[in-house]
Amino acid sequence: MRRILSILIFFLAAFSALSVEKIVVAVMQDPDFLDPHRAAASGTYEMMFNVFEGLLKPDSKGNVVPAIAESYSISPDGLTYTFKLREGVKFHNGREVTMTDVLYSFNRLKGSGEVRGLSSDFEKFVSEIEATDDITVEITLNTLNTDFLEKFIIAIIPADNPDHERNPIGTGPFKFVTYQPGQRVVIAKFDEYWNPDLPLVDEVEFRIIPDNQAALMSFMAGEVQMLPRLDAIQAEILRGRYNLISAEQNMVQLMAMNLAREPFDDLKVRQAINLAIDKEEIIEIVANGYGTVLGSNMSPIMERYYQEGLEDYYKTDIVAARSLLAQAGYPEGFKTTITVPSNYQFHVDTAQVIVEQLKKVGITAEIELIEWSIWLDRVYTGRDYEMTIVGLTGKLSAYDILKRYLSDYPRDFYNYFNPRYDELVNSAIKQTDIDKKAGLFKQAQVLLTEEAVAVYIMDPNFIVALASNLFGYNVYPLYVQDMSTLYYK
Amino acid sequence: MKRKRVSLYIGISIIASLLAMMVVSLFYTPYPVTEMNRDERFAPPSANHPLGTDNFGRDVLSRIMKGSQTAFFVGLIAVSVGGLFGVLVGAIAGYFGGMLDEFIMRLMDAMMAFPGILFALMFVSIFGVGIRNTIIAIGIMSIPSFARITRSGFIQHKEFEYVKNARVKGVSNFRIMFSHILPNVLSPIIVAASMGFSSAVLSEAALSYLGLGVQPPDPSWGRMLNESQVFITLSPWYTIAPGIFITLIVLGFNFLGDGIADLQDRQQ
Amino acid sequence: MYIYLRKLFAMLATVFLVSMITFITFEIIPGDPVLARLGVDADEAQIRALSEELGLDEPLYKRFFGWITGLFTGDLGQSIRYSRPVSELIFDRLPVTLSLALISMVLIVIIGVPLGILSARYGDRLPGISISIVSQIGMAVPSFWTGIILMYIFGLTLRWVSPGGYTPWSVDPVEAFKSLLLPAVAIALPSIATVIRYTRNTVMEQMKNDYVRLAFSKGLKMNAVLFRHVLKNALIPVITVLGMITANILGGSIVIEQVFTLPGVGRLLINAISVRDLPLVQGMVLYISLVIVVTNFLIDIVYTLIDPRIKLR
Repeated sequence: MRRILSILIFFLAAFSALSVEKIVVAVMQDPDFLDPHRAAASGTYEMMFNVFEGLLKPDSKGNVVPAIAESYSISPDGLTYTFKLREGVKFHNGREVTMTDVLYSFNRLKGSGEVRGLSSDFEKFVSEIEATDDITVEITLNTLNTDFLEKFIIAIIPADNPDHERNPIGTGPFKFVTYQPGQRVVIAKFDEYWNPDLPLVDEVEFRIIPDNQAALMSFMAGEVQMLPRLDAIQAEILRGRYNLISAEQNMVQLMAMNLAREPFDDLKVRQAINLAIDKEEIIEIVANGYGTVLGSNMSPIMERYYQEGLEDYYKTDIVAARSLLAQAGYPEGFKTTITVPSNYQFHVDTAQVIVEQLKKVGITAEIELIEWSIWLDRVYTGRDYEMTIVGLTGKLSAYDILKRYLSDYPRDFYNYFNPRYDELVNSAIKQTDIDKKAGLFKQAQVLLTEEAVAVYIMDPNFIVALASNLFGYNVYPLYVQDMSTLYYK
Repeated sequence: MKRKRVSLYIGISIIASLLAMMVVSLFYTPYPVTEMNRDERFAPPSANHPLGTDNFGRDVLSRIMKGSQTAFFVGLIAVSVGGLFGVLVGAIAGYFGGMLDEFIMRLMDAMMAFPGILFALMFVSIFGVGIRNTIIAIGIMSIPSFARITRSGFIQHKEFEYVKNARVKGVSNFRIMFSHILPNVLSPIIVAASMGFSSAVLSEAALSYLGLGVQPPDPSWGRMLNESQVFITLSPWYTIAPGIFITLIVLGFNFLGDGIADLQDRQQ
Repeated sequence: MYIYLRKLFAMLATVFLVSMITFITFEIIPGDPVLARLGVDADEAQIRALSEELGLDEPLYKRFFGWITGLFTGDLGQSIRYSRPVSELIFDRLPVTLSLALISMVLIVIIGVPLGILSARYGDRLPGISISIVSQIGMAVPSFWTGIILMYIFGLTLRWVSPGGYTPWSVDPVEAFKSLLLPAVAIALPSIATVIRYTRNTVMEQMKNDYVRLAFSKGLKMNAVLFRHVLKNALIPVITVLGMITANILGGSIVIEQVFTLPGVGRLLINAISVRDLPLVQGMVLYISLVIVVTNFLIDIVYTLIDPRIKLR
């Protein structure tokens, strides 16, 4: 009898364990920092988006909506942002969010006294942070920056947490449970989330699987229920058997040409290369057709700021490319090197197609694979390269996307220095009129295309595969996975 | 006793056919190895493409043929580098002995205790990714095994009468080492070279598989394995072909090594 | 006794040399651990904060000395990439590597040694030849390819095991074993072949010896001679090979771990190198070189135990 009972208990326990609704998500890399103010990598934000919230948070349309703040207003001169805190928002440790935490978080970003800040935007633009009462905070900028509102999605964290890295605490729909380097990040439902309807599942495990083939196999075996950032060929394999969601992802895959190097200092050469490259073919071969041709450094998903028509500016034309090369003094073409980070097979494949395409206009390009850490050091920071292929993940703010070409941007690895461009982008963020602002950003994109600063290849589609009983997925124009709305049926 | 030569014959025939393929690929491949065809991606084996096509629509057979150049090149150079330095160092250690021997062998121990892949990674990081550096790294990694074999041969032979006689006659150490002793200890070195050839090919495949070896679009069997793995559910033949050829060449050199060893056993 | 001390000293010297070489190479190779951790979207302020925290501007010899002194107190330092103690990271990965090593060693010994003896027993007759040809092929197949194919057949097509991903022993021992079996087989196959060949060769070599002829002339049967006399002597070189194989597996089967995405020490090493995490690499190199050196030492001791006539160099 006792034995039967114990078996029963065992099964009951097993059953209750089963009834914990859990989603395993495959992710490519480890988080860089769990501390949200120190983290920079998109891959980290992708996961921790579910754990941390700011005064505002992004929604799936690409707007920012109130989160820890209940409402906000911007002064007529555009310099002062006033936020009112939402009542009863709790941290994962059960304590309510107070003004102390808000001030602590912003001071940590801006720096105070001797201590330097953790965000150069806050350091550079914020002049004053002031609590006018227990639930109202005013943040004043020193110069106008109409894209600054998006910055307030940065996490508010508890002032009394001694170690934000080992024990991160936020206010998001999920609380942090554990992180095993190279293996997994586990988060669990936060029962006291301010929106009582969310989240819908009990636990989410981000399983770190750097190899996308292994991730695919785990998914097909049912070990993993959600596979974001599937590549197009894999999508082909899964098609028809699983839920596949595909959308533009606000990424810009581009081939940069070092403008400080011969022959890329010559506009004609850059234009010739743009004319020689057939982006449609690249998309078809490398992304199996799942991609959107770009013409400048902006994805169409950024509707408001996207300049249409630029994708047709350089129609593939081998004859025209050759004659431009001849005009530039390279009738026979030239030899060059495409430096590609070896861990991104997608870019490596793109490079292989480009090599073949460039051959047709007489340019002999050699592929040089380097490690990602060397790429960051040598190419991205040291600007020591001829051509390189990289994908830049999208931001909510058009300024954050276009600032990469500013003359004083520390990582302007294109070596693009154009006062007119600087003028356009810098005056755009001083525009309070949204249409005028968009107009200036669009002119900046046109300039990038006309000057052929890079070859803007594509916005590869974001394809996510979901287990067939998993629903409620929202696509964001950002590098995030919103796990809170997902549910099993 | 004829059966004993089986290994030798198998080895020779495999290597000879692969060599023939390599020579042909110098002048002719069914398709240009890097030519892409967007309408013929992942084609299964057919009369036009006996081994199918890859994700770029490139002919796999042509790439396999071209890849044999890489394999032989890697094996040859790596074994030469490893053999040359290994024999030199091993000969010095074995012949002179004493502190020099102790020092050299400690260094060899350190090299053997150093994770091979780490060495290759570091080497490639310093001198750049690419086939040349990969080969050199593999060659350096194989130095200790050559050194050990040569050293033990030299330790044995330096006590023999012919060496002592030569020394009495005032023949220079260099001459004794390389024109008296070396020819007598050459046979195990040749066997080691044959085995070293196959392990070099395997190392290159592993390194290329990790993305460190041959640079695209140049074909290498290891790199092809790396690239094809993703598509195994879509086109298994593309993964299977390079694996079979790596196995074949390794098998060939192992049999060859065995065969030579057998031959020597019988001569003694 | 003296000889053991000398061996011990040589061991330490080897490990020291390896550590020093690692330190120096990391000084030369390009790539910045701070950038590698934070990536493309790093903010200048974040880069500054991390660089200051790490204090990487100290001179090389000072850092090496600091590392050595740390060693004596059992402190391997903090990983740059993961902000955790190096020892914690390595210990975290050891269960995977140790179980992988154990399972593959069991496979190697129970399959390799008996088959080797069998193949020697039948010498140049058909069973002997066929075993040796099969083992030749086994040695030639690249293990990562075997891994890929095994995963394709048993994981994707037959669905017998779950491909990719590792279940810890503490969570579910059966699943853990299943997730380790295929990689263990992929690692074991070429080694089984090697062991078969070694066993066959040494046994056949021993059979030529005078004492074997003597035993036969006394009227002993084949099996009696084989198991009572030959094996004891033949196994010495086999043990050497087994030792070297163990050391290699314990050092991390990098490629196999990559194929099966197992969180073992091999993948940790690859990661550590690619993000230029010197303290972590240094800890891993120390671990791996210790494993190799200690295994060699143990092999030497086993030699003298099996056959007291063998003297240590």
